[in-house]
Amino acid sequence: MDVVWSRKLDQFAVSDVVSVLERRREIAYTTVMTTLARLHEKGVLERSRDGKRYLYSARFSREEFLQSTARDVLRGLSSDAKGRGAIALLVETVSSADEDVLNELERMIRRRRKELDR
Amino acid sequence: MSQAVFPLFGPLLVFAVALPLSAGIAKLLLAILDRLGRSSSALDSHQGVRYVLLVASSGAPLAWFFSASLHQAETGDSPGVCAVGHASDAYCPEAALFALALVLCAALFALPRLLREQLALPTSASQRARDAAARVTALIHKRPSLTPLVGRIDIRDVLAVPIATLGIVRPRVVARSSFVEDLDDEALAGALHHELEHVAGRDPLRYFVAWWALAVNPVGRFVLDKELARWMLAREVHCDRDAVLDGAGAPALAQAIVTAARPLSSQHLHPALGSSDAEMLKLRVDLLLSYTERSPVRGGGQPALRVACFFLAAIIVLPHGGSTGALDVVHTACESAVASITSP
Repeated sequence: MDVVWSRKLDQFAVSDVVSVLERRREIAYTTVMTTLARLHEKGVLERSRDGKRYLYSARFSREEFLQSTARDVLRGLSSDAKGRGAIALLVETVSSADEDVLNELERMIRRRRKELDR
Repeated sequence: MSQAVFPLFGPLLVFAVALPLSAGIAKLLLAILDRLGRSSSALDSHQGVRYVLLVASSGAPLAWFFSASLHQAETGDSPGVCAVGHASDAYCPEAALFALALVLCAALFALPRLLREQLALPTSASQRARDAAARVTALIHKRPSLTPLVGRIDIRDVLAVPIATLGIVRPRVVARSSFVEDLDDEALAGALHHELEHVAGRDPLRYFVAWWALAVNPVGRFVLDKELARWMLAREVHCDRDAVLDGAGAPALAQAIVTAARPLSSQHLHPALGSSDAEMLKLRVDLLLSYTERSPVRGGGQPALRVACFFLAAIIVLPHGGSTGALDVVHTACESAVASITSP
């Protein structure tokens, strides 16, 4: 979905996504095809027939998708706000077990900041 | 003794019966709101109403009983329920004492925390803190949109959190000097923009009022804690978005958030968001990065605190124009209960 949103692909075939991903790493055509079919089943992508192939399009913008996912996460919270009282924190400290997540996020942010600086 | 029954046991009944009942109703309404909100794509849809329901879960019954007892104390409208006979225009000391006891009980929960959060900040005037403060001040002067923060920043070497907004009466931003040092100018400005949204929204006051509403209710923590955490998280996402609209660089703010989320090795971890903390962090970063592709749209304002105050003011007026029946029920219940215990 990152490829679809960041490249602003309105209507695309499996081969369009494969050609973008192949520049980053080796990836099988069937892997992408299966992933797109699953995203269609989950209602994230719409598709229509175009001869022998399918043309896909995103049903939501990235922001809409993230907002709705965020709401699901909020709904599933098992949290406890009793310790916070009147302090507005920038973010909760995450557990040290999430170190990998933080590193991955930092890499992603650095990449985006570099792209924007260009 | 008979005059002390209602002021002593009346508040007990209010706290043990009326408040839990009200929390249950608030939970039900929040669940209905949740169902209604599923059709909306905005994360912060109905957040204002959510806040009002959280505060009203304790605030509304307390305000009503307080107001109704003042009404009875002033006019003596319901002398029939009072064990001590008094004329209809007489002052009813029982109702006045009940109102006083109610206020004292409610304040008892709020005052210690209020004092602790106003006084708890350690001072540090080290060279390191002064250097970090000078850098922050220079950054604020370079960016006009941050000028409301002039005089509202405290930098401390030792602080339990990297950066936060606190101060119920006069909100201010406190930051740890190591956090300031870890960020480049863009990321630091992003973090300050985010905190500015909390300052402008008087969030410490909002959070405190909501926290109090749950703390004062015997079942508040069990029934509504998750709802409060959810409202606070949605508020954070709201502040991220408004910070970007007011001039913060979205990826820079994301960088600041990730830096702030890293625990210090010596720091006691308080993952208040349970297992979802990293998940929520990822979503906030993803949302911020999505703003670089498409600018976010400013959502409706969140006049939640004002609406909550207006709602409670309306509740306060009610007993003076209508019936004070519920108070009479509490009054008679107290006296009958004590009478049945003490009668031979």
